[in-house]
Amino acid sequence: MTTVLDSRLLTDVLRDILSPFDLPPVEDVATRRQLARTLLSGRDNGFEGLALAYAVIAFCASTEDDAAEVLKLVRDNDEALVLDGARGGYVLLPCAQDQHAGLARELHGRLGGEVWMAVAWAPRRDLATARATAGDVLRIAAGRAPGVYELRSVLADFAVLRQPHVAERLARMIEPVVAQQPLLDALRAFIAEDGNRAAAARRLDIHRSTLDHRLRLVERLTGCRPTSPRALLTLSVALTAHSCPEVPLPH
Amino acid sequence: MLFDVGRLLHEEFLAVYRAAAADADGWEHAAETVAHRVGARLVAAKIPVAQVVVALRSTDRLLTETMLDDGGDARALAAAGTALAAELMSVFCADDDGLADALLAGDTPDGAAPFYTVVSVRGAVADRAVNAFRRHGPVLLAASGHLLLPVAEAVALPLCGDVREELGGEVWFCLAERPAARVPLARKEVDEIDALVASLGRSPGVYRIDDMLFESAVTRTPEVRDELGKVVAPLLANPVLVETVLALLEADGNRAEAVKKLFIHRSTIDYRLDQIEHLTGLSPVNPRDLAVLGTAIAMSRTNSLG
Repeated sequence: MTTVLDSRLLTDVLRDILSPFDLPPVEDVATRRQLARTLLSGRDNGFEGLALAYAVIAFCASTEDDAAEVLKLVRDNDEALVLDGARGGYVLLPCAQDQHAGLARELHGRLGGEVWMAVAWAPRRDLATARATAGDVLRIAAGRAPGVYELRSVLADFAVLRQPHVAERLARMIEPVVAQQPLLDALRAFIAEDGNRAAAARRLDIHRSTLDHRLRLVERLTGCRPTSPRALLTLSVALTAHSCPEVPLPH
Repeated sequence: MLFDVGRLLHEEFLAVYRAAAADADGWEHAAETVAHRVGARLVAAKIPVAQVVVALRSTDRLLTETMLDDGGDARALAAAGTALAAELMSVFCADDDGLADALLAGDTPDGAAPFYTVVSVRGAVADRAVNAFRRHGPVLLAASGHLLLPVAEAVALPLCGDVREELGGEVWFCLAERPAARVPLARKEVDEIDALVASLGRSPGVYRIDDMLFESAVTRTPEVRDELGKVVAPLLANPVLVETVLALLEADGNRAEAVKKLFIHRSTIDYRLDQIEHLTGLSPVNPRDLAVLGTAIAMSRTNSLG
């Protein structure tokens, strides 16, 4: 397995076995969509023209037009398989190990609108796991700035989302902060500015000492001191646990 | 609940002393029943053991003298006093290892409290810790070394803090509360926290699952464990970068402070931080990423990342 999946070898193998002629033509959107659905549900139908491994890109956009732009990008790519919904979907691209993030970034770089992408990589047989991972990463990413996200960029949030009893405990811990808008805004701004107090105060257009006061209140309510990196991670994950909306991905 | 322990003992024990003084049949059985009932009440009221001992002594003296004045049998009275005290203390101190072990095995024998906080002790001998806790209230010691306090976690938390101070030295307490029937789950949680606290090298203190939520979630989520292992692997090959991450974490992400700790130039740390970001894809300048890196390093040192 390792020799085959070693990035250089795999690229060679992919080039050799990937014969696009065996896949339905790009015009046959419905058949290709069905193929994508089959692969993503973990069933490998042994189709001749399939690659050994794929990058699974889950995406969503703030508008249908932005989502359509993603589809337009891969429409003429014979190798890409797409399972699309109204404002989001999955794109499957043949990909060597450790190349998936670059691939997704390159794709995202060609887009104009607000689009969130979550990318995972897996050999063809493990695509259901990759889909679940990409889907959950996208849920977390949707609460942050548009861009490309991987599991490693949201590890803590992901772990907690997968452990409901932990998520529940954290959601309860952060509840008193969420109930007070000024405190919630202060914490969110502090997190968004990577713990830079001056920048967070500017973002909220409040005085620095006001921000400090609010952060101290957050500490009193939760027992977590926002200026400690570990505690800030806990607070940030608690916010995700408290409200992590579903994203519009097709089933 | 505040009440006069001496008065309670006096009222409850009077009949037993009277029966013993008159050498009436069955006073031994009555002594056992009464002592158990009173003991359970005192346990529930969280009366410190020292207070109970004082009250027992004065009650015994008072009742014995009264009965002797009335011409009671001195030997029978002494026997009654001893029986009552022994039975009461057996309930109160619950030196009954059987109860703790039964609870940890998932049984809820008669006389069990409605819920327990299980405490693990690291850095001190369990017996010493038990004695320290006993000064504050009832405590059970299990054969496994776990302590069981018949109180809620919110009560046990400050209590553990106090006891830790009394014991002095480097002591770690980990605790979790569950209803009596689910004490085994509390023990499981406590053992998990204790293992994490020990392996992550956390400073001595009192820990609950809340303090280790991220680490606990990581160890239970295979995808995250694997990814964290991949993230940190290139770092581990470079001890200087590992040291830099840990110093920065200890300085709460303050670069100027970390520079002082590491005896290096400001531009050196900036260069190292760039290297770390390049190798791991996580930015140590971002406090959340920094915390993740720190956890990954600590967990990899104990092979928790598989």
